[in-house]
Amino acid sequence: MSTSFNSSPNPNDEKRSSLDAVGHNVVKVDMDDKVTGAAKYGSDIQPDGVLHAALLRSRHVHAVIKSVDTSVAESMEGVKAVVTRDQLLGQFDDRVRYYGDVIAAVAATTPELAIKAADSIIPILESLPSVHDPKQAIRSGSPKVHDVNNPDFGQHGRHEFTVDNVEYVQNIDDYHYVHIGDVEQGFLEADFVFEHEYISPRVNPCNLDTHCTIAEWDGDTVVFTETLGAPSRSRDEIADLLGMPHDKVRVVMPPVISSSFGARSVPQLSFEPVAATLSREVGGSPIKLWFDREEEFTATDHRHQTSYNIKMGITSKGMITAAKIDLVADTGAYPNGVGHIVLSNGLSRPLEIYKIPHYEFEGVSAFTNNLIAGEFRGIGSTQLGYALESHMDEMARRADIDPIKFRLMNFVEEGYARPNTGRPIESCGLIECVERGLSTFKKIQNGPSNDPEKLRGWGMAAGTHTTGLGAVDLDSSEVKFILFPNGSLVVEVEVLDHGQGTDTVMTQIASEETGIDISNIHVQHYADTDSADAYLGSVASRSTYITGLAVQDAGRNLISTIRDLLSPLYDPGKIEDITITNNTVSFGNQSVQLSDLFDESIISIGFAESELNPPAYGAHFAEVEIDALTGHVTILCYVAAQDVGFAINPKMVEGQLEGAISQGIEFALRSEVKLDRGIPLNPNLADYSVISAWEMPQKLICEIVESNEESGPYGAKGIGTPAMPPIAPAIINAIRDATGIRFNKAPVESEHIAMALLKEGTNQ
Amino acid sequence: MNSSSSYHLPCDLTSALNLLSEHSDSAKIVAGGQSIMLLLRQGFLSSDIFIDISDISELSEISIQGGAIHVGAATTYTSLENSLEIQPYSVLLDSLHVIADPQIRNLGTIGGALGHADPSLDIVPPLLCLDANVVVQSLNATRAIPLSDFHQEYMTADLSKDELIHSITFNQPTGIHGGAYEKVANVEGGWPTVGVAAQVKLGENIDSFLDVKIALAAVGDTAIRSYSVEKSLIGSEISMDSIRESSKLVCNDIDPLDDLSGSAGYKTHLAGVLCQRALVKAINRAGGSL
Amino acid sequence: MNITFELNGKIISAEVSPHQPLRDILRSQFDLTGVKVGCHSGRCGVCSVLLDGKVIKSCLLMAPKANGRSITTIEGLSINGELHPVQQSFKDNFALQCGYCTPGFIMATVDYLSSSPSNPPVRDEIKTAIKGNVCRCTGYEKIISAVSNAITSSESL
Repeated sequence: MSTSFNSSPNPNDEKRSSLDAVGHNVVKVDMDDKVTGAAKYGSDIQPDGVLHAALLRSRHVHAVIKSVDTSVAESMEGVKAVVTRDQLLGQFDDRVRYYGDVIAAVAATTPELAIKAADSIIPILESLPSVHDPKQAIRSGSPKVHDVNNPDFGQHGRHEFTVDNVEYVQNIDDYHYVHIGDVEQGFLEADFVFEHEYISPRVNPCNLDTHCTIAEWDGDTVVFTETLGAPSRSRDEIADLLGMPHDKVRVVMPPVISSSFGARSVPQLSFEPVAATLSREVGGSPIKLWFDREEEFTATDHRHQTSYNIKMGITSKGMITAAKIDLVADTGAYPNGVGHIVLSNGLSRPLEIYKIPHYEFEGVSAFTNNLIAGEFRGIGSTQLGYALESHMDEMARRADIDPIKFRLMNFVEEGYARPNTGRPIESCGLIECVERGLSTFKKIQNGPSNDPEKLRGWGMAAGTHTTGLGAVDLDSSEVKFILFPNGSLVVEVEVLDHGQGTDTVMTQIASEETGIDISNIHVQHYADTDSADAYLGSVASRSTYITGLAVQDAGRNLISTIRDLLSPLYDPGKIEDITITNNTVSFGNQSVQLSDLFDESIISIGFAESELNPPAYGAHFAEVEIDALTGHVTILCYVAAQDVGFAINPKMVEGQLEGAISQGIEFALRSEVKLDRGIPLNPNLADYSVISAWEMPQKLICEIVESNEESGPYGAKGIGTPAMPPIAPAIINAIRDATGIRFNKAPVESEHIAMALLKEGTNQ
Repeated sequence: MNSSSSYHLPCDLTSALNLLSEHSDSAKIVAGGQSIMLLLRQGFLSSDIFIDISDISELSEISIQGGAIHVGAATTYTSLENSLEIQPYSVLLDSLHVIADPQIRNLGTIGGALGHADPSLDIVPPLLCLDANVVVQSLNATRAIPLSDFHQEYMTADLSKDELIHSITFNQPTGIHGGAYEKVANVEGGWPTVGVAAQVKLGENIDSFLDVKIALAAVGDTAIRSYSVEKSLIGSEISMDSIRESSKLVCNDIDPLDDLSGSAGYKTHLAGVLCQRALVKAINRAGGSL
Repeated sequence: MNITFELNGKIISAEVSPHQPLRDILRSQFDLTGVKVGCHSGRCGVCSVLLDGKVIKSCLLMAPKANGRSITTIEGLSINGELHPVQQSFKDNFALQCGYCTPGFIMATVDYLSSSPSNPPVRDEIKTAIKGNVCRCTGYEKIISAVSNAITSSESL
């Protein structure tokens, strides 16, 4: 319908036409089981004799547990285990720190009975003072959520830090600071300085498939069957949380992987440890712990709510002279390593999109008695993107500079060394994103409305997020090819297909490198953490980039192995260019049966590493129509121009963009987990808004920009998370254009708009 | 699982009424059953005896008798929306189009909605504007109650334990008439932040109001008529100014609360805006112009 | 209580309680796990099935209400391993990612196609037909294309 892969003249057309499998819209390989209902997700598994778990959760936001009476639950027929918080494996003390913290848990023969038994438990709690504003939490005098800063809960990325700010004394999860150049000098050089604060919402990924794990013990090893996006990192974290050796924890993937968007990238405190404890209590039998929707909202991670204060100076022409950014992020009640990523991404992203000569960043993630925050698509970059691009837009409008020109003159470019790391930017499609995006947008834009009750406006935002984990450490991936004499190829990879299409991408690359037909290639995950050491999984938009490279390498190695098998028989000149078709190897006009070359199977290993973590860029454009009286926002058109390096499967790139846009619209306009002193007011899908097809833009076009990242497979870089940052600010900037009002707290709800317009008297 | 619970699917009304009379203390009438399912899951309903009326054909009928339309209690939103009889009632059609989603409309029934008495139901304001009567029946008696009296308190219908809702009836509008329902919700098909229905009857020259009815959802304990707006318009000339001024009076009749869907101030503002819009649309549909 | 109903073309009996939604019966007694569990509040639509050919949310259907009726789940759509045209259209149009919402969308689309949709397809009408179903991955665009193409190709049959 209105979405189309834009095939305007593109230097990559020639490259694309020289490729057989890569670069084309190969149909996703995981479809059949998903359209027939045969797909078995973790929650569909029901091992024989499985017991069902239910939790009694705190309804206090901060309290000491005085006693827990479990007698009624224990007397119920069919209840097989009852454990209280003090009996749980792991770091559970006698304090509950958020609404939803675990007090006790039950295992019973049916889910209904488990819930009934959990409800029968009577806890006596003594309330403690609580803190809900992260800015207050870090200052002396506020209640302490944890007695020490930087407590150790086995979280990944935990590191020692020194806090340079004398006002930040307690409840500190993590702290990042950098000062490049001299910002005060930079502000002196500016002709115009503007400072503003931007507050982002606490949103939930709302995976439709709620968290479900099956825990059981095999001797002294605990085994979890569930989707965990970064399985071996999570295995280590769970082991650390439980106080067990890493090799005594196994994580096994269910037959079909659930969606994640980051929500399944880290373990959950009231999840794996609880299921493991209950299973141990019943002699190791399987325990199924399946969160209902309310638990998904109260006991799994949300995107960190952030407050960004941005001060920026520009010359009269619009060149940035300095920026000073202060970030306070709400980590909630417990650490999980994600606060660190929110801060480091908040620190780095501005330097990867704009040239900022003088730069100071201070970020703190704070413990509060609020719900726990964690990973969600574009960790930290999404919030920063919203704040920074709102600020760029407002700054330009106030300085009477065209917001697009303002960005264009300050963008980084290829070869520019990022001042925080010194690493150069290898590929940068920013300018092409703006130019192509704007050109398409102008063609479909409606323009001003004649109806005084309909305010129209448009806005744009750029954005970036990096590909892969290179920023943290050297990112690497290893894959294994197994070729059978019948011509079928098994590709074993560490990355999981949550639906985003990595299995299809790896199939395409394997086919491209070997000539083997798509239908003969079967991608398998290392389905068990026991089968791989380095096992990072599908996080940080790394899959296509780093694992794709490893698949490419394995393909080349496979061909070289076959060449070695052929070389005793044929002239080396003849077997330079070989390809595998069905069960034969072809070269020139000759072919050899695979079964003549080897008996059982041949294996090739592929390996790739990178420390570049190339930024991927986007420029998005939105036109909105606002009902001046009700405040209702309709997105009339939207153009997402996104630099993906090279689109290995253009339809799937569009799918990633379109999906991101739905989540960005929620961030901008609709969705927020509302808390009243830590108590969630809308922990269900009746009261928390997720959007339907109706709230999507009326017209939506994806423009795929291909900047050819040298270090990526065929020039590709990431898409899943880099798609997120520009969306909310593009929409909110369009609202600014339509109303003249800068909304600096998202989501910008209809009520905020209507009441602000009333106040301004605009609609009188 | 509750082993003592019983579920009855009578095929005729008499059997249903007999069952109800027999179990009047503990029985719950089930039509679409969607709200009951939710209440059961949340533990807000403890009934063990259920009498399902959806197999009783006369309760799913839509008919016109003597200028009045009768809609059986077990009629689903979908069949009502698709029925020929209802097509002239634009106020009702507007609301049927914006209720929830196809799945909910395929199961949800008009009688179930009225029995549930939620003040946020989209279907109630249009029926209030049509002066609908609710026909309730017990083994011994039948009574017709004006809908405006049927819902007197929050989530409470004027229904005895031995009564069930048989049907809802309303007269076909006469003269030059038009109606409309306007709603604001956070997402399409969501519960209304505010919903306003308007039904107008215009004078011969289509330049004055012979009759006006305004009713609102989600602004108080029950859906409610706005007599202030109605009174100020009836008999007056049609003009944008008078509509604008009269719509402001809607705040006299409503009592919205601050809740997740919006503040009381926003809802009061919306009530005025939507009242005005519903009136304009209703007038246009009646052939009037502004 | 014991009820008898037609499930994916076969007459079957099941022991149910009014407190149980049909969804739970379909999953636990008949292993029809294509009927998904998502929200418990009737919003998300992943448990959508056909009741006498009309799409409903089986988390909101009191199980006894299935008595004497016909229920079709996603597992009942394909015949002899051939994908139903709507399933095929979802596959051809990249209309799914994680796939968890897909059975619900397909059931809603099957009902919509049986109710004389506009042809050529109308985007807003399609959006209304699928507004009871939530998808977290695709942003709905490719689902709309799949429904649209299912309409146009059903015409050409």
